Amino acid sequence: MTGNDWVTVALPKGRLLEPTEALLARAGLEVAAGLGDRTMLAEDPARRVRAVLARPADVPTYVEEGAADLGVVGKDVLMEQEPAILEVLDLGVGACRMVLAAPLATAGEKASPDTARWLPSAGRGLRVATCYPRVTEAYLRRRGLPGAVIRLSGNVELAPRAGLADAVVDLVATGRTLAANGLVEVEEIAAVTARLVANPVSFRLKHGRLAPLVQALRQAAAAGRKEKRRALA
Amino acid sequence: MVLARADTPDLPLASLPEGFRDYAPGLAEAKRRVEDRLLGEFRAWGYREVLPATLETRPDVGDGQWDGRLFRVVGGGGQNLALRPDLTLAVARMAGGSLAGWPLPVRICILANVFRDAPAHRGRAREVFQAGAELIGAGEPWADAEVIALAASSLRAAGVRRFRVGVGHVGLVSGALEAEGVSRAVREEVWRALRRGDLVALDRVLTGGAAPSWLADLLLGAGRFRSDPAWIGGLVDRLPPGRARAAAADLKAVVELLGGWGLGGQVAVDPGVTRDLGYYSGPVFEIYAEGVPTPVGGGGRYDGLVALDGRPLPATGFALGVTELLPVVEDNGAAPALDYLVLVEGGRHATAARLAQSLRRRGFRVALEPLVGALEERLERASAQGVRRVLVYGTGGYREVTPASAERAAAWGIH
Repeated sequence: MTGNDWVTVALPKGRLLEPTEALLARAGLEVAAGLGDRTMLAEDPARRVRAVLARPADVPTYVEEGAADLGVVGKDVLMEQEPAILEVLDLGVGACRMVLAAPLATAGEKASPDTARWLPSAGRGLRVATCYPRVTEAYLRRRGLPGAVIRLSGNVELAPRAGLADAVVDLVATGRTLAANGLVEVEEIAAVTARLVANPVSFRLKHGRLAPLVQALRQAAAAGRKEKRRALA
Repeated sequence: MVLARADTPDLPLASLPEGFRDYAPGLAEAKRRVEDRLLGEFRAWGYREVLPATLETRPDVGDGQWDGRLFRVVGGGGQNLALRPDLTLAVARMAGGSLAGWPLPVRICILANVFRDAPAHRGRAREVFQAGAELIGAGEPWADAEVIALAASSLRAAGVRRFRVGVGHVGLVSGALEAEGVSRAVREEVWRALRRGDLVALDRVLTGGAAPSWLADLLLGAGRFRSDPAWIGGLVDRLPPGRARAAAADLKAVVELLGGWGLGGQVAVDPGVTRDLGYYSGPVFEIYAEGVPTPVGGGGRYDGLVALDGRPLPATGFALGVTELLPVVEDNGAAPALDYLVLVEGGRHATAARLAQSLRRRGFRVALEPLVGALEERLERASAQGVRRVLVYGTGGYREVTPASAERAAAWGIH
């Protein structure tokens, strides 16, 4: 937990940073604007808010260990790590889906959840490449699919073409990366958005300080959702 | 001359397993000081010290809450054993064994270590020292209030100033979920969300129309410490008759009693506190201390875990994490390592030993050594060792020499 009345927020580098910054700005917090490639820490002394930039998979650790009171992180990371922290808000930004995908050649154009059962696996069980081994393991168990999880650190979509795996579990936003690699979606495992998380002890001891921030972010997220719906209509 | 690891490649030293640590003198003493203060307070409230066995045969009582977190040990006869994962289970076992026949209520306390496996590389301790107290044989709110007040009072005695206690009630949530209009699916989802601290899922389940609105109001207030007696009184009236309302009435009584203990400001109702150990049955609580990222303690009522002649006995208690408290204990009262170092010159050992003994009897910490080599060099080490005064005992009686400048002494915490 950080010093008495300062609030530290851990923000994720990468694809979630820009929409998160926009959301924070909408909630009246400009502190994140100072963060960039080389600036990992920014402070707003007037509001007594500090932002730390971390790798997305490290955000839960910052929050769990109390180095940050709040954090912004994708639901995918929370599902994989199951950290002992509070998931406070669905921020609605960074929307994408976690899916099981397989090569078009084996899954076919009309791939459906049932397809998973018939995916060729050369008699040794389905080999699934992913950055989310725990989620994938749980998914295979839930679906009763015999298989093995192959843990990768990135570029998962290449694994089937390289002969490393029969299928992948990965995040999809537009589906373009999947298509470019000759993959089709077989089944959606989860819908993913950015979440506001909190250290459970901070959340209780600093509630007076955190509640207005959470409320501002709740309103900003709701306004963002409304805008998106209008844009779609 | 300082201590260093021997360079003997054919005799490798055992390395420390992850999540375990050795306590060097400063840390071991700080830990003992905290324990002494906690134990002093427990004793002052009439709690008698017990010490349970380190190994358990059935640590999985309950609903598998220790699955995958036990350190298993195979006994001599191939018997499956485990290092104790918590103290409450051990107390329940003792109640049916070595404590059987004691007149009720029984007040006991324990200082002991517990062992829990944890994910690798997350900086989690796997051996933690706990201080716990249990009140067995009293089922009324005064007993719940007593253990909560004792937990708070002993924390203060240990030197922890900034902390708060959140009190919930297992029956409040489970009773509320049993109320009409809540499907089994919703009930399970609520428990899962509460256990995981997933307020997003909780909000989705509770505000989707699948549950009465008072339930959302009750559970989505995590972190909103409510100590206002009017709110707690109103809670009783708002809940439908049944288990939930009885639980709220229970909570109200406990909070009122705690006000009488002068703890009104530090204790508040937090219905989201449910503790995820399956054996809890009534009021439960968690303690949050500023500067520690996880709760420093908690406990609650566990009626049914302890039995008397086959009849379940009411019981309530708590455990405080001594290991977690160490960094936030104020005024840790560190003493110099040594008050006197007596250095003996030339065969005057017997007389010097008598001098050392008489100083020790007067409460000083004294070490006695023959003076070997240069006095200057020994004095330098004495100052690094935190020695306050050095006496050199020679043929002409003893003389005091200064081991260090005042600043050096101050830097070592010596006053």
